[in-house]
Amino acid sequence: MEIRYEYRGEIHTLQQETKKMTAGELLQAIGLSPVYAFVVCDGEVVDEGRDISSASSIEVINAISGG
Amino acid sequence: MTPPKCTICKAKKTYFPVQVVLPSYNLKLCREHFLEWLEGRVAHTIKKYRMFTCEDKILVAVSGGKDSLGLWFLLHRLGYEADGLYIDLGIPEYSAESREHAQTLANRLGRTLHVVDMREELAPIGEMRNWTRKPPCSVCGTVKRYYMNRIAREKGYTVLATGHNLDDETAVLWNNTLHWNMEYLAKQYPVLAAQGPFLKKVKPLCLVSEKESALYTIFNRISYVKPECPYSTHASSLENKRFLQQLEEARPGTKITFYTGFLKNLSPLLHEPLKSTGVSLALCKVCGEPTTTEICFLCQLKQKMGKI
Ligand SMILES: [Zn+2]
Ligand SMILES: [Zn+2]
Repeated sequence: MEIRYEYRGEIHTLQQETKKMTAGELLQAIGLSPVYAFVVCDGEVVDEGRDISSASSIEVINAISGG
Repeated sequence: MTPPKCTICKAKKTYFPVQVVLPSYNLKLCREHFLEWLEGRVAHTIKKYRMFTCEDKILVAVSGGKDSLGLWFLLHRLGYEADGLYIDLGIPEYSAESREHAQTLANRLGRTLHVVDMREELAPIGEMRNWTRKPPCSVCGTVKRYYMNRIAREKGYTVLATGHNLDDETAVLWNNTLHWNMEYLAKQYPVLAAQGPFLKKVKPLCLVSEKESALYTIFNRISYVKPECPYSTHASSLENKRFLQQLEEARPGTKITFYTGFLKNLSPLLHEPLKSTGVSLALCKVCGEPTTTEICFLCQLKQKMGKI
């Protein structure tokens, strides 16, 4: 399956062999830690265990910023 | 698998699903209880460090990012009288977008947003960079500090609030400790008292982590600028933040313990002896704003660029 997600204002895609994916697995796949990052699905903040495969919009927020 | 339950809801025997896990405090919270917890924490910080009262007129320096916009919203929610100041640095696309987010929130809160446009004042930050050897983040910081203080004073505000969060403060503390920079360590405190032409400056989010701040802004559906500032990609503060996050991951609570421990144990020791030997302030011969040199950085830049 293919997961499309928004990150820092840009759309990215991730190819997955499995049929399901949780928010925590997405963060892990793109190398972000749940200590500073989280996933917003269809406008709602979701916990790491949530299955995000059927969401229509996925956004990854990385809270670390410079400055 | 049944979803985990909110620590507070569970105690009240109503069960809302957890949306936020805070290992540093051993808390799992639903949206409502997270918002309540965070607002309570900031209200406590404001009182504990005597930042301001309801009588104060507060100016929040907003960048269009999650922290400053979230702070403005939060202060409004807590009942404080707070307006915003946006300094448009003229960074292509980035500035226009952040300015729009700041204006959207101002409209939503029904408060004033003051705007300083650097393209009208002097030049866009990209052009200013060519006239100085200072790194871009340093030029940006100096320009912002200058206008924040000047506008706040001219418009009659009593306090200037910035959106610096726990991660910002910890990264700076870590860097200053690594270099044993005593002068900066002595100055690092969430409240800087008013001094002559300098307004009182406060950081109400100093105990709120960057992730908590982002969650607060998103839960309240505040739109903010998502891409990083195009000039800040190599900022060393980012490296320090990443390093501290690794420590936090291994031992939750490290950041808050490091920072609050400093405020409680070391800061009082550094504060008194260094206060009396602080750098003497003069007023800029050209614009009259406070400076440590005869002519302030901004007026020097204006002279070099042939604008005065
Ligand atoms: Zn709850
Ligand atoms: Zn000057």
